[in-house]
Amino acid sequence: MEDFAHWLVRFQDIDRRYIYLAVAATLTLPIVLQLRMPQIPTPPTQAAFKAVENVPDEKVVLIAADFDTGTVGENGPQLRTVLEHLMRRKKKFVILSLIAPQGVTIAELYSRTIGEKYGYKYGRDYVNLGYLPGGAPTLERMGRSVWETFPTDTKRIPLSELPMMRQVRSAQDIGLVAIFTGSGVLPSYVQTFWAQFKVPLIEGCTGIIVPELFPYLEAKQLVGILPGLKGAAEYEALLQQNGLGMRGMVAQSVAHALVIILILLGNLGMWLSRRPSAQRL
Amino acid sequence: MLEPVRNLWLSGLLVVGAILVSGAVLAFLHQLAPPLRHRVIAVLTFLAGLYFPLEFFIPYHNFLTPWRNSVADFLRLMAAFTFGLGIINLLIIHGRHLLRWTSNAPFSLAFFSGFLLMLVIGLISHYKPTLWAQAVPKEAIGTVGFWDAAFRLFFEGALQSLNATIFALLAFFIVSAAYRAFRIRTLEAGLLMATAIVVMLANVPIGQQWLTGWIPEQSPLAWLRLEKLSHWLQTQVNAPTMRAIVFGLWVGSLAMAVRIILSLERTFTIGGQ
Amino acid sequence: MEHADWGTVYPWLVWVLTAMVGLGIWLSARGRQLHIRRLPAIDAMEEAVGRAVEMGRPILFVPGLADIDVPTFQAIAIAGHIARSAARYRNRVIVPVTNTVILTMAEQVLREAYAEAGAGEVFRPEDVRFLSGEQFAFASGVIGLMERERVASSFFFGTFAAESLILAEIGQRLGAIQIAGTPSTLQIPFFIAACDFTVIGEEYYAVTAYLTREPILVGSVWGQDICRIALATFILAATVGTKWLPPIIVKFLTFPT
Repeated sequence: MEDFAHWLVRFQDIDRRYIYLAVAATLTLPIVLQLRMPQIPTPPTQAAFKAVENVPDEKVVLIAADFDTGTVGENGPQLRTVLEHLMRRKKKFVILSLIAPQGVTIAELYSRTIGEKYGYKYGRDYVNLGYLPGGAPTLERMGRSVWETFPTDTKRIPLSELPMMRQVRSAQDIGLVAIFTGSGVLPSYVQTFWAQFKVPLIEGCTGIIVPELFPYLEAKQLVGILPGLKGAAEYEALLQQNGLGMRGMVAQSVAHALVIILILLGNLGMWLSRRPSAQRL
Repeated sequence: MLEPVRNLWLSGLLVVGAILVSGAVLAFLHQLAPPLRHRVIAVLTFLAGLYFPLEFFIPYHNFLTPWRNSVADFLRLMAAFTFGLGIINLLIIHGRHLLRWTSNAPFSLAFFSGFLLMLVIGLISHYKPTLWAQAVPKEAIGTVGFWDAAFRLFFEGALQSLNATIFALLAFFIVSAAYRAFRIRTLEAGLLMATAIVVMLANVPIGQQWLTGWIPEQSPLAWLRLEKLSHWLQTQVNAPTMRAIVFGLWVGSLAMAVRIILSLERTFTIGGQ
Repeated sequence: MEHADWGTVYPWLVWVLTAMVGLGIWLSARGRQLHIRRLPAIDAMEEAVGRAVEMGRPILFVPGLADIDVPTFQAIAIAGHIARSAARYRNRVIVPVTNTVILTMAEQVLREAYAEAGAGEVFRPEDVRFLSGEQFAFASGVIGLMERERVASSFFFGTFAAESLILAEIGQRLGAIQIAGTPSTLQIPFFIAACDFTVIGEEYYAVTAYLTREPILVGSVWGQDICRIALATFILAATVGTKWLPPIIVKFLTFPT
């Protein structure tokens, strides 16, 4: 027994390389083995789902892809599942980004791949307006006149040549803004689309900035949130889809369990080392 | 408010004029005795710092509003001037390593090759995409030219992947830092750990489904479900605390801004010692 | 909200708070002794500088993802103090930056700090380095510097994002004494987990006052504390009073959208 306790004491100081190895294994194995776990959608995700359902048919959805490859692990699955939802309901959408030039490229790539399944065509069903620097003032200008702010799309095709854009002139033609980001861009959209043009907002964000968004949710400035990878998985559950979010969630689940086990082991080792008998050893 | 000057000669003249005036102002400042120079800088800082607050606090569209874009452009231009200094700083440091062939020279070599490659490819793909390469036919949608492809290879293939790799290191570091830091030595540490475990478990199906998923939604004990507990902790405990910290920070930031505008921040005012 | 709405309390509040800070500065400048509570993290700064000197290794000061804003100005002011202490022992301070405007500013502040301590020749301009404007390229650059220079003490002061833990964890592995302070609230837990001392919240803006005890700075910190007490009282009173207050006052207290 004493030997076992002595052995456990060593857990208070595990070499970090073993920890890294364990993390790598817990993150990759569930993804490689394609394990699945059930999901219970939480109210913020349910609200986001409902907001997408409620977009009027004659209006388009604005996809703000304000993320880059750094956070694509979380924002990617969120955007994919929301795009899937939009396409299932035959809703049209416009892509732009305020802070990340790469975001729009990623969003267009997803739209193209998912769109193949639903027969979505560029220019008729979705348009990529590209990267739009300038923050809230530029968004405000866009809300007043899309055509003046973006005379062409990201491929320099005039908006007049894109059939879908003939119906999209101002914020009045936008039924929902869906922001995907790992940064604090929300205030720009709240100040313009929510406050001035009364367009509802939802946000798919990285896990770390979720606490920052709850005040907006409580103030009803945000209708719904997809919190981190979990948000993507919950949204997929609502869509009854088996996507990247679900797969990633198993990895995240096991990794969280690993963290908890490591913390408990560390504490156990520390307590045992403080016992008088252990100190004699 | 200020429209770009289209006339090449006039804009050239304006640039030369601006450089001459700036040189004269700098020379004048150098001529002044240090206390007087400090005072002139303080007055200029005050006037410059006044623009944005005044523009905001005078209600509605006021006489300062039309200049907002021009002032923002001016600030951006000032920053652009220093960009050259940043590059010079990099070139000097890495050039010295290469010339003396120090132990850090391979890193400097990597810097120079990356820097030059990206610069040349970026410039060519933007200004002369047909240099030694075929032009892409207009009707070929989805095809990119040679230089555009080369630029993408370095930007998307190398830079973005490297960025994502460094970001991914966080996953490993968070686990090792949490393992080291979460030791229950005090009551507060114990409480912190308990809340952390609740939030962590609530975020994943293991906690939601297997641990408390059996508690019915309508039961009076439904608040014990992990996702509910976690939501309560995040919105009722964490969010107000964060807001309180942010309040404290903004007041501090306001005080610092006042000190800078009034040139009272002597520890920092350059040339003010 | 493009411009201040004077029909609400908020623009008034800014001026009232500014006046309170001004009062603190005025009182302190007139010789009134004002008290600031002890901050262990700041007490440890001198110790961290001393340890680097003992070990004969340089000090690292990272002013965050420096932008031209108030938190960065405060970070550079703190860097000046660290440089002044290090200069007394003729030790180096390495300051990597992400912004070229801050590069020139930091270089000037450090040069003056070393000159003031009579150690102008110890200052090397290349110790203030522009690494990259890209967040993670900067982070990997700082990691490289930490590894190559084997820094003995690291200071992280300024605005940080996801790179905070990457930097602090590497420093921890190298066995450096680490002190951090940031107004980026989301990064505070990471610094607490990986650094020896962390300055939290409003303490960030009190660092220079605490180190120099200069009356103007001490006065402004005292003024800030009065502001916080006033704000907390105001929030509490407004929350409790909303039920009974006439609608016109409630409208005056409501944030304009």
